[in-house]
Amino acid sequence: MNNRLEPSSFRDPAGFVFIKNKLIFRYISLSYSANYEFLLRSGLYQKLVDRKLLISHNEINQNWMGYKDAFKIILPEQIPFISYPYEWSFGQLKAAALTTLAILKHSIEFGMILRDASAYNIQFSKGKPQLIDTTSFGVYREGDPWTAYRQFCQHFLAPLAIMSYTDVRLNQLQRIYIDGIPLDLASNLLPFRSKFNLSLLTHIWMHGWSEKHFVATVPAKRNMSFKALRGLVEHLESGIRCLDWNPRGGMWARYYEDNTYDTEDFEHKKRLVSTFLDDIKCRSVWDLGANLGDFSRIASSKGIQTIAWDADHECVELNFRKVCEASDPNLLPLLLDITNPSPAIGWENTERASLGERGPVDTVLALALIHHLVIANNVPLERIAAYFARLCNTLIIEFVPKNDPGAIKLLAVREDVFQDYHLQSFEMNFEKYFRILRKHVIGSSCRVLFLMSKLEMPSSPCETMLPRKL
Amino acid sequence: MGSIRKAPARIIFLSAILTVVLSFFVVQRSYAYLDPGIGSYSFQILIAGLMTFLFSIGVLKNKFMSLFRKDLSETNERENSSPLEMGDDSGESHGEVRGRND
Repeated sequence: MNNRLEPSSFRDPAGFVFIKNKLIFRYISLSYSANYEFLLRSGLYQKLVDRKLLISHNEINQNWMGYKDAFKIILPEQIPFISYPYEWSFGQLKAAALTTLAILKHSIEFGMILRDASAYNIQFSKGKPQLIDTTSFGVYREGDPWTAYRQFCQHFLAPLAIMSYTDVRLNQLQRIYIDGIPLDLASNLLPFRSKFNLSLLTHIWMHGWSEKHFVATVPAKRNMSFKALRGLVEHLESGIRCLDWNPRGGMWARYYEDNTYDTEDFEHKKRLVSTFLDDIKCRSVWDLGANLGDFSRIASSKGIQTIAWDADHECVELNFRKVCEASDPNLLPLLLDITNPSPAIGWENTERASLGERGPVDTVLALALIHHLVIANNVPLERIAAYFARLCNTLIIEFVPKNDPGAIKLLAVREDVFQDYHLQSFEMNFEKYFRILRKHVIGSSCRVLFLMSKLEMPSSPCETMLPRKL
Repeated sequence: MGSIRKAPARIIFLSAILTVVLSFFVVQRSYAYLDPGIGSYSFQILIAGLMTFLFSIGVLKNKFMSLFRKDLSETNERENSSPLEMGDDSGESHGEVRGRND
């Protein structure tokens, strides 16, 4: 059968996701049949798909899984890469929040409501945030409060508020709190002036307070009128729209300006990367340390699904804005500190996959990155080669020697304990895992660009580095 | 005599208060797989009046603004063309309640 259940899909009895022959399918149970039929017959599904707010799907006739209570099996539009809220910039999270509310507003118009408002249900596909969970819709009953209200506040409003008011890097709290940032914690992190924002005062401060003080009391009557529900949604939306964060032009966002790259060398490097990409004909690229995505765009412009990873929030935000302006469907900027990549989290540590589990990608671009890993982070060359071999099948990597201005700057204030950091050692270590296909000096610089393909069955660096006898 | 006459009124008044208070202890199930959170659920109902009021204000504002419909539609167009406002590219105003299919 070759079926595999998606580990994150177990909470909702309405259905689950499974993978067969590398395709994602969604099983819909009989208990959800009325909601599913309403979604399609009401016209809501078509409206959301037309507006690119919900991914489309096809119904599959066969019941591969053989479950007795199966109602439908659908084949949704496939998402090239699943990213998580802690990998999104401020603008991306805000766009995802507004998408969720737009879907909710359309749903209410059609007599339905969102049963959940998880940020993980939103994914970026072809440059736009879209809902991927077709079973998120339920038929609306007059008087019912919105059951996903708390989840929306925890997954979207609270992280956006603390990113906007306190520090943008606090989005990493979403790694720890998989069901969104607790509202009392968000209240503690927000400055006093945020109380003057009526949306935050209501939906974070007072909402967080009520969670502590209404723990044992629930009103007998559900008296959340239709107007009140619409008012709640509008109020949340205006609150989200009011939140803002703008990059201030930090060190990494100005990296190319400050590092005075020779224009000819820079252009030569671009041509080399383009040629290498043409040679290997890959379908997916991860650009590690992508900065503003100058080199990522070489790949995305060739129709290659490209992810521009960077550890700097400003770079990812500016890159995302450029992607939006250019409507680039193939480029997705995401946050990642490669020295501490996204781990596997959630129930059994399987709900949200680690970076490595979401790979391997066809090609990794590691341009002007190696000296930061070795000199600034003390990662041995062999460990870098081994990790890259787990992430990709082909590698385009730039070696930056110690006499390069970039490396000199890193060594200026620290002891040089990197005796093995030279070209020969670099090649020797990487050849344990890769075969060098191409090697070019970049322009008049002393940097060298390599194209490598992975060897079969690379050995673990830990195995090779551990002493045989303890 | 006066205090005897007041007794039934007091009993009725206290009973009414007790009924209201007790009603807050009767759990009404929410028909969803997601736990809405008791505090969050109660809070939502508590602010329902405020939300209704704000929604009504919004509707009135939209009606007023519809007098200047042309200007408004131009503004909406500008807002929706912003790449970062990705909520919906429909260009529709959601300020007013539209027909429901329920």
